[in-house]
Amino acid sequence: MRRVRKITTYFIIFGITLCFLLVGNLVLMFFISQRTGNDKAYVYAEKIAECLEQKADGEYQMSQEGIEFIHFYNGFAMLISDSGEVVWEYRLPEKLPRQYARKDIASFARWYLEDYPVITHIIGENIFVVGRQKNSIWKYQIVFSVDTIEAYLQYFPFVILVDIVILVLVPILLLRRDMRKKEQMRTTWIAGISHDIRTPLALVLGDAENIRQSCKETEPELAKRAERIENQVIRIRTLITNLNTDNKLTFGMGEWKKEEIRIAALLREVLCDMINREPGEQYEFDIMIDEEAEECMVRGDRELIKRMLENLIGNAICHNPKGCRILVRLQKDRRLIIADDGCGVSKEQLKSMRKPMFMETLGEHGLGIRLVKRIVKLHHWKIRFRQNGSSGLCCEIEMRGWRGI
Amino acid sequence: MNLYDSNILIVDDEPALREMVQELLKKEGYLHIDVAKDCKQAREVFNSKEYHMVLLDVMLPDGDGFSLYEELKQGEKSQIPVIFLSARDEDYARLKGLGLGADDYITKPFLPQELLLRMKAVLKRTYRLEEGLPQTRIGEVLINWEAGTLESQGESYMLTAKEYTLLKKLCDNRGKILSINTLCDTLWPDGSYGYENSLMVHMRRLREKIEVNPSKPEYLVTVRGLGYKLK
Repeated sequence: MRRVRKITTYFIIFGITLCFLLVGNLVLMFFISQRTGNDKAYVYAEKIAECLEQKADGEYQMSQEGIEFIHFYNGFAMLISDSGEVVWEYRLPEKLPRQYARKDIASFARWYLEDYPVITHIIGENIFVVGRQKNSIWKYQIVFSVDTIEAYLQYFPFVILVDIVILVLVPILLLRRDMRKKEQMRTTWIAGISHDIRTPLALVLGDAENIRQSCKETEPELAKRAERIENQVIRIRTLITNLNTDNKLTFGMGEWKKEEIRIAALLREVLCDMINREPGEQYEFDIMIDEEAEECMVRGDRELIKRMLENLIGNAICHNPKGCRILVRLQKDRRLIIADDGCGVSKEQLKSMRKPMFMETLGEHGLGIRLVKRIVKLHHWKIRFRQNGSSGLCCEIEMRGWRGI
Repeated sequence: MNLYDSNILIVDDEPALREMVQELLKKEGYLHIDVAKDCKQAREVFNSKEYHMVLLDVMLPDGDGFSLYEELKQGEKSQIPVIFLSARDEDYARLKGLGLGADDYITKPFLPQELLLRMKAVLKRTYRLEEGLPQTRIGEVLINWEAGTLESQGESYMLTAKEYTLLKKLCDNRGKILSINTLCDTLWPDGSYGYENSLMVHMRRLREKIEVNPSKPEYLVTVRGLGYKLK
């Protein structure tokens, strides 16, 4: 849907720009033609011919108005009688003949008389001719078969439409390809960095555990410190995994598998792992899975759903270091509820959790929640955050959509 | 053959990590551990001895672990189990492509205990090894794994096949919660939906045999909603 809207926007912007350009060009052309005297290009020979009168004695005379017209065009004029004789002339160039045969007239009637552009007008039996300066007028002739014109009219609207579509699409497609490449590079880069971090972390974790085991009895304080190191390393590991997964989700680079997953089993697996890992007694887990929910299957990516569950439960643990009760319910209508009765979140935090979350403003926990929301969205599920009674946070996920990913 | 008699090969390009894992395995009791730092060395070493398991880093300087694995599989020693040490999330997808399961890889950074558990699980699965601990004590009760019996107050009772499997699984993961689904999958590998009640029955029977007061179990505890744990 977003893509369609984007393309429509592009079309509109492009269309408006094109119109503006066209209008601008036309205005410019008009302006230039005005400056260069294009209004003088076409001679209204008829008007000038009207100013010519035949006097009683047969002589012709041009009125002052007519003379001014001829001057306006910086040209000359003559009247050729039926016999081809020039019976009246004004500023006729010396080189031009005063007697014209029919073929001469046919020759210059449309175009040029010895390189002078001319226009003719019939008065009774005579031909009135107005001429211009050499090289001042450019005449052209358009000749088309009617069928061609009709065909043009039929096809051109369609052709223009296709032109516009191509003009718009080509740059968009090129841009998109470019962006895709950049996104791919970025994802690879982040994946590479997170990989580089993991090996040193593995070493730290190993050594910390070593120290803890060997000092357990003899130096409990030291063992406790080592345990703290272990916990921090796991925290960093979670952060890196979240970062990597979020990155892949953003740029659609990951290959997400569609599987049928027994959600009850997966939920228990995650909970067992987390509880086995963190035997902190300050956390009391209250787990209830409806009998009818045992067989519920959801379609999705197993790793992503695992990540989602780990983030949600881990969030409850992290936010309440002094301990709390963590409630996990899986209901038969495929509704999952994870709630804690710990310190909860402020109204502002709740608000910001419900809005789309952007990377720049996120911290470590925000990243986890953002990832949860995105995984929910990817699976076409619904998620709701609210306050749990007087304190604590409650998260409800409806895994209703059968479509999955 | 004893579990700890296995020949283990560690392939990783990070010397500190090789050292750490080597020490870890030695402390655990494994007796024969060799290392290699890249694909080339791995191939040489691999051909020199009969190995029972390989811990294989995915990103190696002269190749990647998956390709090396495929290579090693081609040879005669193709049944060697391997655990990939991966530092990338996407490796999971490739693993599935190779037809391997969750037991066969571990992401860095890993808890050393996790690595040891995985290794044990894979070795046992592949070679049907025993841990070398022929007996386990739960409170006043002694379980004899080889005989498949349970000794309590001087009396010896046979364990049924299901009870044996169930108890073994709990002992192997002693101290850790095992989910209902995991236990059902263990007892009924072909399809364990609907057997939760049977599981309860088996647990009750075990409690009757082991616990002083079966209604208030001290060792085989229930974790409500999740599963069971052997303390």
